[in-house]
Amino acid sequence: MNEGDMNVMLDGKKKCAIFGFCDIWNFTDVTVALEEDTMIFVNTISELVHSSVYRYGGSANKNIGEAFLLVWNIPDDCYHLNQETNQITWKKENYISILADFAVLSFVKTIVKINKDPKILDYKNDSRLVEMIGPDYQVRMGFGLHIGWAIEGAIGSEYKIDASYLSPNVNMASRLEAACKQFGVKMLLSDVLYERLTPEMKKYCRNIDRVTVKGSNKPI
Amino acid sequence: MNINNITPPANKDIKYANSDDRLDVELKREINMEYLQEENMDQYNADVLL
Repeated sequence: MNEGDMNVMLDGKKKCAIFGFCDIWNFTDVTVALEEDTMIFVNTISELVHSSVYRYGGSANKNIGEAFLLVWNIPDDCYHLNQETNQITWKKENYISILADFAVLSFVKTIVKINKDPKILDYKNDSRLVEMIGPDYQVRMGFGLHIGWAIEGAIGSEYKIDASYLSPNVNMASRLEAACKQFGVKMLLSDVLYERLTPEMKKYCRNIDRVTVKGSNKPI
Repeated sequence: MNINNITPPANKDIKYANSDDRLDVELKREINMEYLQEENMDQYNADVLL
């Protein structure tokens, strides 16, 4: 290997974070209707999502077409993670609670923006979208939030590499987002994340259901 | 540090790629991140930010 070459054959690092997943609904129809203009559409939404997440201490980890993976990293000194059992003992609970609130806040603010931003609202009147999806079309998104451990590392090869998080907990955020459609809500949090919120934020949440999501045998 | 007294960055001439909105986001992040400092945690209240 020459100096300056990238070596991706490195271990990842197991750490704890809050994972957020959001998804633009009806995206396949949108791409068919808007064709080249889909990029403007998705990047307008990206700007809203990313800026809101960044503002509340998070970062955008992946743009997956119509979906986004967002991460709020938790500093190592805020928890103890048992490497064998993956059991987490929280240490700086106030810090975690405020960070958990931030994750919820950023998604709430994004939902508000999606429903208020003039550029987004213009899509309600886009004849191509109305014809393809229906007269009541408006940009709709689902949001899922969960907290837990994940393996942080670089995935790919010297040709293409991405910083990534691998874990059932990342999948859980995605599953929660997918369940939003079934429950007719815009955002779902896991009970694990709910428990970490401040009392002020908890009072804005309601218990929706107890479910077992695909890929997990543990009810949440 | 009193987070209510945070002022915009000294160099107000900093311009980010697209617009002043970016500067606004940077500033708001800075303010929010102050709540994560031990000495400012008691000033945090989700109701205010909501």
